[in-house]
Amino acid sequence: MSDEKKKKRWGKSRISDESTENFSKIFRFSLMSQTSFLSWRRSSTGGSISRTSTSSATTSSIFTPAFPLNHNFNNNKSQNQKTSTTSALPSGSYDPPASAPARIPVIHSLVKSKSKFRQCDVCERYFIFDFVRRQHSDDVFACSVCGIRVHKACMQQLGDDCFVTSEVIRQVVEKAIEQNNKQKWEAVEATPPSNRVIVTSPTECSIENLASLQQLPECSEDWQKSVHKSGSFNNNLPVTPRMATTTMTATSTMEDVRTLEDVTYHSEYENTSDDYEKELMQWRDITIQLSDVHVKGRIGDGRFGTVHIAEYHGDAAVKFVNMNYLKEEAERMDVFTQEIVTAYKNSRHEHIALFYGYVVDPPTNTYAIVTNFYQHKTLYHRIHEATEDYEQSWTFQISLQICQAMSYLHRRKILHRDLRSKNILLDNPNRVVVADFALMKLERLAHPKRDYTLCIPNHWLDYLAPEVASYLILDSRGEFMLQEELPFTGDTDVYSFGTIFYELLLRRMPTGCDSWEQKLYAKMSGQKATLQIRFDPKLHELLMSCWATTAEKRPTFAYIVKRITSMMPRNKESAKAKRRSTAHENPLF
Amino acid sequence: MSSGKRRNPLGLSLPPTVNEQSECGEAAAEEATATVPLEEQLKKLGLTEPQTQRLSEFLLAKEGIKELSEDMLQTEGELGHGNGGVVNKCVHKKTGVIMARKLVHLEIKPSVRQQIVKELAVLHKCNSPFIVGFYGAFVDNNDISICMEYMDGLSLDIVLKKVGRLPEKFVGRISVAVVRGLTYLKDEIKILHRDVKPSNMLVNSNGEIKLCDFGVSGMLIDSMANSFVGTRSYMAPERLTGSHYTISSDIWSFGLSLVELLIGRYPVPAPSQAEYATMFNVSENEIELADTLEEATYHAPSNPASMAIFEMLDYIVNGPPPTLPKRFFTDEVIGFVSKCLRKLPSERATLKSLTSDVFFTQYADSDDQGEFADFVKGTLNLPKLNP
Repeated sequence: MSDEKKKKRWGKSRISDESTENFSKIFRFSLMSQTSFLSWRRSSTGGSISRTSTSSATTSSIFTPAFPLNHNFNNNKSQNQKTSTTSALPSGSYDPPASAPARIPVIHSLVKSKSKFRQCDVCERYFIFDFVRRQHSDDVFACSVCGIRVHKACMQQLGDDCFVTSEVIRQVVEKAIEQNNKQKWEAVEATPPSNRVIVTSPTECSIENLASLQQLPECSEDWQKSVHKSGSFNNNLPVTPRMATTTMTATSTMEDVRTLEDVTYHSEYENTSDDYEKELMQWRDITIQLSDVHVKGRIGDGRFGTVHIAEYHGDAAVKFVNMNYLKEEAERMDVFTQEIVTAYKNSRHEHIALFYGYVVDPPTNTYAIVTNFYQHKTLYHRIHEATEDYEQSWTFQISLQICQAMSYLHRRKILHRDLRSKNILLDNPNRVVVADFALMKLERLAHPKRDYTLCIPNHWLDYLAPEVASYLILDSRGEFMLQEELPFTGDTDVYSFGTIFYELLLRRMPTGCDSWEQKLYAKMSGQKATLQIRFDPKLHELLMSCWATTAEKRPTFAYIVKRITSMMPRNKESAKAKRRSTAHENPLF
Repeated sequence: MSSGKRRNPLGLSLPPTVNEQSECGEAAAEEATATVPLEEQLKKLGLTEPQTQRLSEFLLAKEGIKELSEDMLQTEGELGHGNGGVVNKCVHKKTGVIMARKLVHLEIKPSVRQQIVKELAVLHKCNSPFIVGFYGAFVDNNDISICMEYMDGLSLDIVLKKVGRLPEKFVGRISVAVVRGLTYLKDEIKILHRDVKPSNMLVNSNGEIKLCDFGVSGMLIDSMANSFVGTRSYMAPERLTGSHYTISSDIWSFGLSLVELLIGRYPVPAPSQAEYATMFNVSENEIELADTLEEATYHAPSNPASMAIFEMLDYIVNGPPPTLPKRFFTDEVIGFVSKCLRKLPSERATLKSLTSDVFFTQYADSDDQGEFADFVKGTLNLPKLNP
C-alpha cells in the first residue's frame, strides 16, 4: 500500500480534540498499566513504500531483555497525543532522522510460500502474474512471524523490519485497553474513529518511535542478538519463528504472543484486502458460473476445443477450451485465466468478437470463453463453401475490418497467432469479427501426443509464416522439439492476413491438396502463389508484401488499413447504399 | 494418398489417379474383376495353400458381418494413431470377430460422408494376402469408422521400437510382401499406395505382412478435420518439388522404409560413421559407407540432433540418397535398396524389375518354416525400447 493511500485512510479517522482528550486518558492509563509499543519506519530509500511496524510487549519487568523500550513510554504518549492533532513534528529530545536509515534490524524469518493471490509487499505485483508469465518466476517467501510476502528477488529490498504493522498496534492497544479498562473503553466506542488515533499519521509516529529506539542502543542489542540467531533467510536451517525465541526469554508471554500472531495475520489480510478485492472484482465481473450457461448444441469443432451455442441471457457462443495439455489442474486455471482470458478481457473493438465472460470450473475440467453468438458462420464458409458470388468491394470492406481489428489488437500488444478465415466470423453479411485469438501454442498442438506427427488445424501451414515454420524442429529422438514456443510476432499475423486476403480475392487456398511435406517445402524455398493478371498490380504488391519472406519487410496492419482505404472505390453513392443496406440488416440502426 | 477426384483449385495438373498404365499393359482388362467369382480371383493370384486358406477364412468371417454400425462393436483398447485418426481394437459383438477400427474425424455435410463410404467400398475388392482385409465402413455423427482386419503384431514401426532393428532375413520377407502388395494394388485395383512407410505395414503372428492405409478416397483426405505435420517424411524428392506422382515415388518410400527397418533409425539425414559405429558396436574405421552415385557435395546441417523439419525435407531433395554401410549387410540388400533410392525417378527400379532382383527371388521362393511368425509372436509382449 502506498503512502498516499495510507494517509487517506488514516486521515479519515482523525478525531476531534475532545475525543483525543478522552482517548489520551484511557491511553495513558492503559500504557501505564501494561503496554508499550513502538513503531518505526522502514528506512528504504524513500520511495512509495513505507511500512510501519510495531512491536508490543506485556509486563515490562518480564519483557525487559527483549523489549527494553518501556522507559520511553512517557515520551511516546506525549508524541502520540500531538500527532493526533497536528502534523508538526513533536518536540522531543532528538532530531528526527529524516533520511538516516536508523533501525533495529529485525530480520524476517522467511519461508517459502505458495500464496499466489497476494501481492508482493515490496514491489506490489501480484504473485499470480509472475507464476503465469514466468517472468521472474521466483519463489514466494513469506515471513512466518509477520506474514509479509515478497518475491525472492525483492527480498533484498525488504527492510529488516519484521513485526506487526500499524494496524496491529492499534488492535493490540485496543485489546490491552479493553482488557484493562472495559468501562471507559465502551464509553469511547461511541466515537469509532478514535481508536485509530494512535497511528493517525504512521510516518510521523514511526519516526518518533524509531528515534526512541535509537536512544537506547545498548538495550536493544540483546534483542538484536536473539533475533539474529533465530531469524534466518536460509531455508535449509530449521526455521524457528522468532516469536518462539522471544517466548523463551519471556516465558510468561506465550499467550499474548499467540494473540499477537493471530492479529498479525488478520490485520495483514485487512490491509491488502482492499486492493486485492478491487483486482478480484475486475475478474468477477467477467466470471460466469457454469450453471448460468445452458448449452443448447454443438456448432463447431476446433483443434483446441468445441464451440456450443448456449443460452446466457439470450444466445451466446461458448467455446470450451481444451486445457488437457497441462497436467496440473492449478496450472490449467492459471494459464487459462492469464494467457487466454486476459487477452479477451480487455479487447473492445467493433470487429472483435464481443466477449461476455469466462467460465472456469476445475472439478468438471471446464474452461470456456463466452462470446456473442454470430450466426452467419465463418468467413471460410462464406468464401469456400457458400456458392453466392461477392463483389470486390465486399472483399475490400472485409479486409479492412479485419485489419482494423488486428491493428487494434496489436496496439494492445495482443497477438492473434492463429489468424485464419475459420477464425473470422460473420456478424451480418457485411460485417466480420475476429475471434479465437491467443489460443495457439505449440504445447497445445502437441496434445494428444502422437508418434512422429503433430496434429494441426486444416490449412494451418498456409497461414504459417516461414520464420515460424522454420521453428518446427526435431530433437535427438526424432520427435518435435516442444521446449521452445513458436516465435509468433505481429509480422506473423500479417503473413496470415496475406493468406486471408488471397482467399478473399481468389476464393481458394494458396495451396491445393498437397501433403504437408510439399506445402512446407514450397513455403521454405520461397514459392508463393500469385494473383492472376486480371488483378490490379497494387493488390498483388500488397499481397506480396504481406507474404514477404523477411518479416521486417511486411507492413503493419495500420499501414494495410491505409493502403486498402486508398484502393477502395470512392464512390459516395455506393457508400450510401452500403449504409442503407446495413441499416436494413440491423433494425437498431 | 489421393485420387484424382479432388477439387484442384490451384489449377495444377495432377496426374490421373493411375498413371502407370504405360508400365503395365493390362489396364482396361480388369473392369470385370467384381463379377469374376472369388475362387477364380484367388486362383489367379497364384497363392500358396495356407494363404488361400486364410483368405477364405477371412472372407467367411466377413460374410457373417455384413453391415456394420456403432452399436455392433465393442471397443477394447487403443492400438495407435493412424493418419487422421485413432485406431481401436474392437470386437464384433454378434460374431466375436476382432477387428481394428480407425476413427476419422470429419467436418462435412452428411451427404459427403456417405459419398466417402461409397468411395471406400473399393476396399471390398481388395482380397490379397498382402493387403489388410476390410470389413466395412460406417458413419457415426461426425466420425467415419473404417473397420479392418486386426493384425496382432501391429505395425512395423511399433515392432521396430521393440526390437531396435530387424535382421536382414526378415526385411527380405517384408520386401517380398510389400512388393507383391503394391503390385496387387497397382494391377488389380488400379491405385497407388501413396503412403508407404513402416507404420503402414502390419504384421501378425501367422507371419503375414500386409499393407494398409492406401489412398482410395481423396475425398476422405480432403474432408478430414485436422491435418498433420510429421517429423519424418517418406516422400520421394521429385514429389517434394512438385512433380507428378507415379509408382516410382512409392518405390522410393519403400526403399527408405527398408533402410529404416535395417538400421533401426529414420535414415534422414544419413547417419555418420560414428553413429553407425555405436549402432553396430564396432570402431569407427570398420564402418565403410556404400558408395553413392552422386557426389557428396551437400553439406548436412551441422547439428542433426536439432534439425528443422524443413532441413530434413531439403536433405531429401538435395542431399545424397540414404545408403547402407557395407560389411554389416549383404551386397544383395545394399544393391536392392540403392535401386529403390535413386533420386531420379527414371533411374529407379520398377516393381517388375524388383521382382527379378537377387535379393527378392532369394526370399520369394523359399519358405522360412514359420521363422518370421515366431519372431512376431516374440515381439507381442515386448515393451517399447527407449530410443
